[in-house]
Amino acid sequence: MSPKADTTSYRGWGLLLVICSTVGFLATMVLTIDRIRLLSDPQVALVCDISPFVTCGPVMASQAGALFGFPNPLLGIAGFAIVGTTGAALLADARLARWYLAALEIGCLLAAVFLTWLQTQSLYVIGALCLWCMVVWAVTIPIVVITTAATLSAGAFGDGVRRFGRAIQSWRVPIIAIWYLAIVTAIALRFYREFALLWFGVAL
Amino acid sequence: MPKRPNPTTNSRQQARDRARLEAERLQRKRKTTQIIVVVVVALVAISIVASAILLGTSGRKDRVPTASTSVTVGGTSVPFDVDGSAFQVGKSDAKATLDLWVDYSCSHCQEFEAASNDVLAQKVGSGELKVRYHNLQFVTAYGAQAGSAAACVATYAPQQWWALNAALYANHSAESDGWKGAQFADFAQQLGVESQDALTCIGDQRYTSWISDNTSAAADAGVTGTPTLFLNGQQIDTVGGAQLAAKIDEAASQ
Repeated sequence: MSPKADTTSYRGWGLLLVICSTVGFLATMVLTIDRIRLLSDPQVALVCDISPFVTCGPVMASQAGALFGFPNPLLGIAGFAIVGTTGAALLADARLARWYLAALEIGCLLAAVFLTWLQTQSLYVIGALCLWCMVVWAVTIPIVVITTAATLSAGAFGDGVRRFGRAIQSWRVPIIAIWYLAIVTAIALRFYREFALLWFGVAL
Repeated sequence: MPKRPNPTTNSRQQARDRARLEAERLQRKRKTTQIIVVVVVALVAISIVASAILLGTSGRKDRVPTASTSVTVGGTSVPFDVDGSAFQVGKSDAKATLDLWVDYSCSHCQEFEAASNDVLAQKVGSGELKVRYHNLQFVTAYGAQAGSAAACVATYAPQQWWALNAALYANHSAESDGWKGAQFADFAQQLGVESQDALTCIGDQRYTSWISDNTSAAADAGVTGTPTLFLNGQQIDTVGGAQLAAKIDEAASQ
C-alpha cells in the first residue's frame, strides 16, 4: 500500500470513530441522565418507555445494569470520549504509536465482550429491549470491527496477525452486516410474539 | 510486473493499465462474493426466524391450562377454575367479582398482593367475593415464567395454587428474574407441590404462551398497566388491604 492510501484509510477510520462515538456518547449520556431522573422520581415517564418490552426502566434497574457496582453507561461515557478523541486525532493526520493502537484494540475487544454479555442479559434474563442501549450496540459494532481491521493490519500486534488484519479489512462491511443480522435474528426469535402484537395486533 | 528488455513508454503504460484493470476486476469479484455471503446469511436468518415462528405457533392452541375443581381458601371449599385469561376463585353466586390484571414481575403487584391476600382469602372464603386473576407479562420475563408455573399448578395441583400465587410475588427479585423452568419447579416443590405432572409442566414452561395471550387480551380489555382492578366490571383505583375490603363490601351489598 502506498503511503497516500494509508492516510486516506486512516482518515476514513477516524471519521467513523468520531461519528459513532458521538452517537454512542450521547446515548450513554441519556442513559445516565434517565437513570438519575428515575432515582429521583420512580414514576417519571421516560422517552424510551415505548412498550412493555421496549422499555429502559427494568433494564437500567436490573443487576446487569451495574455490573461493576456503578451504572454501566458511565463506562460508555468515558470509553466513547476516548475513542472519539482518537478518531479526531486520526482525522488530524496523527501518527499513533504501536502501543496506543494495541491498547485501543484491547479496549475495543473488551467492549465487544461486554456488549455481547449485555445483549444476552437484555434478551434472555431481563426480557426487555432498551432503545438507547440498542443505539450503543449499533455504534459499538462498527467501531470494534473497523478498529480491529485497522490496528491489526497496521501491525499493532506484530506481523503474524497483519495478514489476518488485512483479511478483516477487506471483509469489514460484510462482517458488520452479519454481526447486525445475528443480533436482529436473536431479537426476532426472542420477541416476535411481542412485535407481532405491537405492530400488527396479532397474537401468535 | 515481468521485466521487459528496453520497455518503451507505451508498453510500460499498457502494463500499468493491465495491472489496474486486473486489480479492479479482483475488487469487483470480491465485492460480488461479499454480497452473496451477506445475502445467504440473511436468508438463513430469515428461515430460522420463520421456522421458529411456525414451530412456536403450531400446537400452541393445546397449551392452555384447564381447571374445574374446588379448593380450600379462607377455610372454605370454593370453586376454582380457569376461565379464558383468568384463574377464577370463589363461589359462582358471589355478589362481588374482582377482576385483577396482574404481573408476577411488577413491583406494585407484589405490594398489592402482600397487602390484600388476607382480605381476598377472607372474602372468598365467606362467599362474598369471586376473584379472577388475569396473569400477564408487562415487565420482565419473570412474569411469563412464573405465570406459566402458576398455570401448571392450577391444572395439575390446584390445591396449592393459592399459596403458590402469593409465594411467586414474594419471590420476585432481580436475582429470580433469571429463573427458568427448572428453578420454578424446585421452588414449587419446596412449597409442597408433589404432582409430577405439575413439576414437568413447570420445567417445560408449557404455559408461557398462554401468558402472552393474556397480555394481548389485556390490551383488548383496555388494560395498560398492572395491577388494574375491575370490581363488578367497573375499573377502580388500585387500593389494597382494608380499603379494598371496604370497596368489596360496598359492591357486595348493592
